[in-house]
Amino acid sequence: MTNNKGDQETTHFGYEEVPISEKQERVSQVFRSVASRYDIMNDVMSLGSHRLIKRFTIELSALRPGYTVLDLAGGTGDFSLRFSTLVGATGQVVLADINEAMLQIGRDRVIDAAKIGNVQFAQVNAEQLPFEDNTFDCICIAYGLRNVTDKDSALASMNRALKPGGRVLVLEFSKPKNQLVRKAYDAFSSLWPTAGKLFTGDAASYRYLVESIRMHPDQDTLLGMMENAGLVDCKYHNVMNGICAIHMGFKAP
Amino acid sequence: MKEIISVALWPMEKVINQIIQSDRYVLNKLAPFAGRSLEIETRSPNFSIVVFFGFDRLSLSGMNAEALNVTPDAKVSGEAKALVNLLTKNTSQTLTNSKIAVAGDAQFIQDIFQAIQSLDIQWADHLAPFLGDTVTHETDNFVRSFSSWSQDAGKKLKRNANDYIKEEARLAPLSSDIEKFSEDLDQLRLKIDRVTAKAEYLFQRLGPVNN
Repeated sequence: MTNNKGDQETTHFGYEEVPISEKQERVSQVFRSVASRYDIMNDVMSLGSHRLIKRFTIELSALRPGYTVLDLAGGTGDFSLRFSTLVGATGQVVLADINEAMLQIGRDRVIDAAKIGNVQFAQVNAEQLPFEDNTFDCICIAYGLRNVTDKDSALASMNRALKPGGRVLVLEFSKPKNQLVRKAYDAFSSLWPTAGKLFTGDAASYRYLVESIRMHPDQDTLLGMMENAGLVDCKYHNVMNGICAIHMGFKAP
Repeated sequence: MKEIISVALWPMEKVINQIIQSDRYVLNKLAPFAGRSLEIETRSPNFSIVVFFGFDRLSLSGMNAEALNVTPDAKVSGEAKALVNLLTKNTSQTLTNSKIAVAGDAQFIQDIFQAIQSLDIQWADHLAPFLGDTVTHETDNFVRSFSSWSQDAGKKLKRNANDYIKEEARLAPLSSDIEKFSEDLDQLRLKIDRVTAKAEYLFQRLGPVNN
């Protein structure tokens, strides 16, 4: 979503309006800052529930031995580790992230877990995936799409890189369905910058994470964006009343 | 609900995969199914599981095949009790059970359940790393003695109930009464056959006279 302010096109960075050209670098700064403690903070911010949500997403991937998977915005490699096991020696996982600090941590984790042989690493921009058309059986982007400047381009790029019949999974924070849950969750998430300050000494980055979640499109809007990108049979599963949502779409056969 | 099933399946999947990976016999039995999937849908309680078979593991999903957008190679549906019996009794008999519906590749289902039945899994050995030796030993003892006690108690209960219903309350006939009644029925059937044959003979003899 972009706006025109004067001569410059802008986009949102949390609650701020920034020039499009700036957003990518500012998001990169945030993730460079939180990379080393990203997993600990995920546990704190989600009270451990992110593990269940990730498990749920992996179930929806329906991966089988021999599949080729792109773990986009794969960061610290949580998904790639699991994908690597599921696709086996005959499959292939590409752990990709735009941020070199996150990718470095993910790469170290994957190698430490001895998942070598079927995992590749790539520093990529989701808006312009450097892969041939019809490459992947599954593309998963978890907690990454809200940080992408041009989400429509990213979804179109994913559709292009998918094999016909392949699936895209978008796991992202979303909008709780119940008003009470929404208020409770808003109150809880407003504590994150303080927790960020406590655990990582960086409140600003976590303030951005909270704001970016609130600015992210709701379930139905994202569903429409996926359909506009050319994906078919799109649907979403709300998790924990919609605090998170897993969107799924397919490349037309 | 989906989340709860997913949480419940997580440790179950972990234990099953631990068993598969630590036992070459089990691994070899399940390896031919790699890449295939089976949906199991139970009624009372209602839920679905999709099992994806890998080379050295399987993955369990608490969502049905439609929600996952996959077409399983086969689907077994039925009452939970009947499906549990599939794992414990002879497959060829239970697959023809009217309470179980099979769709897709029936041979695949037959092969899976035959493979499972042929496994002699020492659950205690596999649970020990999670629960510790002492807890596992005590749990194993408890399960074995409870199983033995429940089988014994079940047999006694069945026998006593049988005696009470037949001998005391006279709500159902004794086996000897049923046998006698059955013999009387046979005799009656024979008599009817004889009378019918005689009647037919007489009609045949009377036939030409009437004409």
